[in-house]
Amino acid sequence: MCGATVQSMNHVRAMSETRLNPETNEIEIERVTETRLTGFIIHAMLASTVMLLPLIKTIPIPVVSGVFLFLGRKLMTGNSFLQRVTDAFAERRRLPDNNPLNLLGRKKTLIYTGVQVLCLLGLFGFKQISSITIFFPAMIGVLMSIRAFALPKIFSDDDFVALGDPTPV
Amino acid sequence: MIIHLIPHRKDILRRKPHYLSDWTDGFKRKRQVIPAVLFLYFACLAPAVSFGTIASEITNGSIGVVEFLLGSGMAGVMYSIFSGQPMAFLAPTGLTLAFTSGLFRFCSLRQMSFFPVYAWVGIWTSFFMTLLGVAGSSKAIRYCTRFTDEVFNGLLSVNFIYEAVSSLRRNFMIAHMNDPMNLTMPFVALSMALGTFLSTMKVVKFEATKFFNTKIRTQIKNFGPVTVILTFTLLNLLPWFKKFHVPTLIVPDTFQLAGGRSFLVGLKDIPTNYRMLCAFPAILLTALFFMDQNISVRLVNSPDNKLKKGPAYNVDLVALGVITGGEFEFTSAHHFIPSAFC
Repeated sequence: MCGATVQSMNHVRAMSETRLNPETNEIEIERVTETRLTGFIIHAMLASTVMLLPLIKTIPIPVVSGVFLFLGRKLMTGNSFLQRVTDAFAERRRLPDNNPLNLLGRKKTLIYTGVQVLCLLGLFGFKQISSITIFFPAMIGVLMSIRAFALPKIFSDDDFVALGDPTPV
Repeated sequence: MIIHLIPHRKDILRRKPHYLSDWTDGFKRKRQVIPAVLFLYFACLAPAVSFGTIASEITNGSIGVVEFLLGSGMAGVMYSIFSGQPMAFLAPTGLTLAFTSGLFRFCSLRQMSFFPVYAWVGIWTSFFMTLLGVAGSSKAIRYCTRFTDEVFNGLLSVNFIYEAVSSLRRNFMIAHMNDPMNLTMPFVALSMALGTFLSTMKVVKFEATKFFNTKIRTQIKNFGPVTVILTFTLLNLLPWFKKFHVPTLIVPDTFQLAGGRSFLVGLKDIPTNYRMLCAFPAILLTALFFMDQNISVRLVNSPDNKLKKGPAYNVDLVALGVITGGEFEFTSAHHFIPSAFC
């Protein structure tokens, strides 16, 4: 058991009061109710579910799959890496000025995004091969060293800032 | 004051003034809390049950749904009380599941009994995590920049979608084996999954539509996801729908641990040098928890979310470490329960 990104982010979303910004026509977070109460009740309910097993039995597996699709999809929004993957097919004029594609040009943005895509595929493959998954954390280290040692050969510090990934000092 | 002796006192001092309001704020905004609880209950139940099912498959029924529900429920309750950032939730993840299955396979290859090893790995992990937290190591996570964060995050998204797709695909495989001409069930299942997914997406975006008024729109956004899940579940109970035999969740009928085993596991069932060797897999698991935990909490604390009460990474880490150890509850002499700590 450890901090789970998907559930945590959905918790924050569920507790935020949003407002439709009429200018950009986007939903913005106005404020978030930060409370321990929700986590407490939800998990107490979760543990008590062992008393309700006959009811849980009636939930169809496809509905669970649907919830999984929703949770996965919901986590994708706000991930600027996946955003850049779709932006790679976008026309530059249609993107805002502060988009990395406009700041850095298509080639550099594509290299950076491409490296990330390869890393994602690598991690996913690593996870699929069950005999080596136990060393998964080491792969995160590999990713960190790619970012720390290999990428600075191509990108300057300003490039990283434009990509929303400033180098820590 | 003892508080000045520990390196992460800043974390505690930052969160302490908010502790009371952390509880009372929830009571003040019941209109937000009730729908959130209802939806997130399902959002936490779904992974716990399906990871529990997968775990029971890969460990030959050694750990199952009941352990996952009890384990994540109790851990979550403790975390909501003791963590520094209660907006983050603990849950079983696909990666820790992969770790457990790796450990199980290793144990069965070496013909070692799994539970004592599992318990010892848990104890070591708890120790390492607490140590990392007390040492204030969460600072190190800043070297893990957005580059890594987002790939990791993307992996989790892809993973959730992959699980859903492979579950739906399995229906097709099974139906095809039985009768290639009759694929009604897999297609009904597919439309059910897509129906749940698309209508949930629709209702949470309902706030941005032009229909009705703000109050009703907010209600639809809040209660929508639960209504969708309940509607599809009830639909499946209707007699004319039941004949499709869409598979439902497989859980034991009554409250019993997987395989009907007893609560107690002997920690002394493996020799002392093996108990020490369990520290090595525990290092890997600690690394996994450390990354996963800190990345999740960092995403929650991200400025985009406009949280005001401030982060407390090291408190979170200590809480997690103690909870991992505390998962071996109901201590009796040298016997512990390992709930599914992963």
